[in-house]
Amino acid sequence: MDGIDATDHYLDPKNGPPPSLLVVILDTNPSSWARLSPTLPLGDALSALQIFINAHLAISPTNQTVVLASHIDRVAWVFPSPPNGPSAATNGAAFPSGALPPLQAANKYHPFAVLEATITASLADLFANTSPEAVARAYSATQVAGALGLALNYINRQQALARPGGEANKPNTAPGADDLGAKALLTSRILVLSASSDLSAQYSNIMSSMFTAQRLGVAIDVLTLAGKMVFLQQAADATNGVHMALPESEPGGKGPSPRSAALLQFLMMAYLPDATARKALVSPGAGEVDFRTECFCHQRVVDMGFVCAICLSIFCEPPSGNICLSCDNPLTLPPKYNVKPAVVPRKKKAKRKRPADGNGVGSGVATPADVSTPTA
Amino acid sequence: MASEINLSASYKKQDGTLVVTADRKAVKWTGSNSSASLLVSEVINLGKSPDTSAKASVKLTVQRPGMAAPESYVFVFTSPTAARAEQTTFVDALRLVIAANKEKAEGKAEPRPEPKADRPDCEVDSDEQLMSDIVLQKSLLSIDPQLRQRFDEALKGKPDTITISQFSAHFWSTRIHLLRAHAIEKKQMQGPYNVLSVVKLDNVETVEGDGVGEGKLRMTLSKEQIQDVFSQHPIVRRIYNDLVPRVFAEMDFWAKFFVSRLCKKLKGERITDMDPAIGAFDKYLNFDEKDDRTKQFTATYIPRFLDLDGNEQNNSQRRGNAPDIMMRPNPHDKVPILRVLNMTSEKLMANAPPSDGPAHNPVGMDEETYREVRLRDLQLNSQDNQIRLIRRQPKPAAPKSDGKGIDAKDAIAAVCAEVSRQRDLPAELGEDGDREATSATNNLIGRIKRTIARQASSGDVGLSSDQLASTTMTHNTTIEFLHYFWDVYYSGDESRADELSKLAETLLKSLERAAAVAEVAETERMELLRLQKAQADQYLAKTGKRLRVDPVSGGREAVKALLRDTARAVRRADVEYKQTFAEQMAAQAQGAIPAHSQA
Repeated sequence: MDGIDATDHYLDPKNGPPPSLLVVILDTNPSSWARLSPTLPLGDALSALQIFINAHLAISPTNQTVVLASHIDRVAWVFPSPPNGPSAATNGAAFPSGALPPLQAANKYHPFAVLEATITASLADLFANTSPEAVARAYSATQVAGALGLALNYINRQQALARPGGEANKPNTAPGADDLGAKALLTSRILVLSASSDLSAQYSNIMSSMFTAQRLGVAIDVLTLAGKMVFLQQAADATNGVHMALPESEPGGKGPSPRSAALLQFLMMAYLPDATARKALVSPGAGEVDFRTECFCHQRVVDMGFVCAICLSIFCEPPSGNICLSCDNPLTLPPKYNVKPAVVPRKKKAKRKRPADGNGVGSGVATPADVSTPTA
Repeated sequence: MASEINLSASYKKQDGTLVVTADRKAVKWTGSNSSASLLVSEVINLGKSPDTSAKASVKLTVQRPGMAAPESYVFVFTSPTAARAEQTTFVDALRLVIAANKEKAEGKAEPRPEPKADRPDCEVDSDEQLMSDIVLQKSLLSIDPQLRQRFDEALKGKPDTITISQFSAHFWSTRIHLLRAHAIEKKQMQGPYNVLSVVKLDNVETVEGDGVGEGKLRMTLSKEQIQDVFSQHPIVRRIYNDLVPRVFAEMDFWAKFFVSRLCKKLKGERITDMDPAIGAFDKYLNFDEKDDRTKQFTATYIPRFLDLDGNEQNNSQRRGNAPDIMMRPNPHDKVPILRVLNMTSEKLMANAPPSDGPAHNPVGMDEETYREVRLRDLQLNSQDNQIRLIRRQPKPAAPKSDGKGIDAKDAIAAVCAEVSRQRDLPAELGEDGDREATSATNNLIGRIKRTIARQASSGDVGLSSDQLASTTMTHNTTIEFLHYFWDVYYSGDESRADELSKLAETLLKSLERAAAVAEVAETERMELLRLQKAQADQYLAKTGKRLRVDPVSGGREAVKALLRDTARAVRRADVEYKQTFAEQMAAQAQGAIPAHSQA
């Protein structure tokens, strides 16, 4: 009978698109969200995110999702909740997967209900365990780099599990995934929803994550709600992801904020297609990418500077003592790197002029960056 | 060691003393008012007055290295008694030295070509040599038309204060790699090859008398080929020396040789009865091939690549030292070509320069080869000489605080409240939400369209190829001048300040040139537009319908778009120059004068 009514093709993993894993990294810095709350309260943003994830799961029964919280000083699992669960000390929000409030469980598609409940519980737990001192100390910090690392680890493991023959015996614990999906290859992507600005200290870690993602074939998508994430821009560009900033809008009246509608529209239109679908679509890129990097000594963004030839670390000006800060090698500077340009011809008399401070460093469109070389 | 010679002599009518140093390297004359000195190595000629003349004098012709014409010094010996004797002493002392110097000078010229010939051709010329080799530069320019175009264009536009040599020095200073590649290309020569197989006889139709003629055979033979034939087959040289010009003329000799049986035998082809039998050559048909081998066996250096003693136990086939089956001398060969080709290859390789190592090195393995070939796997691991690379992470900077002071507790409380608020997912967007969502959609669609436009339009710009070429040329020359400008600007050299000002002017002129190119493109576009309009009017007149006119792209706008960044670079340079100039003029006017120091 099965062959007649053609129900096979809905569940045929071999001919359909491969299962897709979506990792959402949600920036949960309370200060940033507090600043955003006039136009986009956290609750509305969470609703929009929820709808988006539901849509992703609805596309195929083999799709999976993971939500991570990039908090001020740590990264926390939001969904699926870690094995020890949110601590029992919180009141009622903690639950083992069975005990949902009955009303909601009846009308909702079970995986969606589980998702919503787990997210709510984990976030509540996370915020309950956040101390005000920590928030005050780390003003707009968010551990994006750590979250990227965690996400890539998880993706790597899932891809290994999904590969035919490789570790296929381990049970696939993420809810919403069928065992049918275990044999097919897995495509993954990471979506970063950020409300804070860049942290210079995380530059090298973000770059490492970017290269890892390139290697694994994982696209890093970025949607910034406030602030600028320059390094994530580069990461999105390098991994064929989509980077955009949600446009500003007026605060709404009662009811869900209008900006959350814009957020939902952005998510659904630009970030929903997975890697297979993106091959057929033109993604709305943000246009120009700011490819500048930051210097090692002051963590300032630079576009021209000095590079140590041994460890390739970048400085905005020659380091004191001419010793590279990270690899301790003595550096030699090129002979005339900070020569002040002499533009006025010398007078014939014996008096010599002192030229004004011309810029020897960091200027000029046509000249290449100077290079410091180490001595033997 | 000879001792110093002190003689009294006069020079240019002044009395004084002539001194020859002990090592016979210098001759000094000191007079009352003046003195002269010269190096014996510079003396090219030494002459003395004959014994019969009244004065005893000596003439030295000196060629100093810097001067064009040789100078001559005449010293008259003034000793009242022993002038002649002194003259003789002087002459004797110096004569040998001068003769020895002369020989050395001549001798130097000849040994020098040989070390050069020995120098392997892969040795690279230094940068200075390449920069100063004008012939090489010219030949590179003649070979590469694009490079030549750039050079000429830039030369045309250069300011007058910059000399051609300065300009070309700057031009080539960034293109040394091209020069080096070209030099290496030119030095390559063709190696030895089997000449006899290359010389072909063409059957050429000739028309004689009544229109039907015999086919004549034609061949071309160059001088190098003749030399190659002689070196690869010495027997041909022997025959040549015997027969020419006594019996045959040269042309005749070669004509007969290439059809003879001897030639076929040397090539290795089988000799049939159809080949002409030419007595003069055929008597050598049975020459002994082994005679030719003497040169190979008397080579001065045979590298030791095979350890026969060592292989004695290791030889699985034990066939002895007989040559390979193809190499055995066999008079009843049905296919002599195999053997002949192998032998010819051996002869060619014997004449080719060896690649094993310099021929004058000591025989046997050298130190490095010995070390390479030694077995090492059973040795203990040697000490690790690696230098560990320390790579420290930068210290995280303290996060910047905004000062707007959102209270931390409030913030946390707010988010907690948000999260724990029970809410249903909205079933539909409200009015405001709808509006926002629509604007978001439009935003996204706009972005997508922009991406598509960017991807699609990277090709066609709308300019004709001529216009494109002239735009490219303008860009190239402008970049050359920019390079030059920044080079001089950052050299900090005060003496080049004039050059700098002229370069700044030239850069502004480049902007004008770009504008000129844009104008030309615009006129072209106008022409196209006119044509299009005429067409549209015609169509309208014929059918009464309006033809939709697409806007013609290209023209001034396109050129401007292409050159926008170049122009920006020029303006940047100009702004910086003017700024520094104003600052320095002000400083100069003020007269502040601490010493100018460079870092």
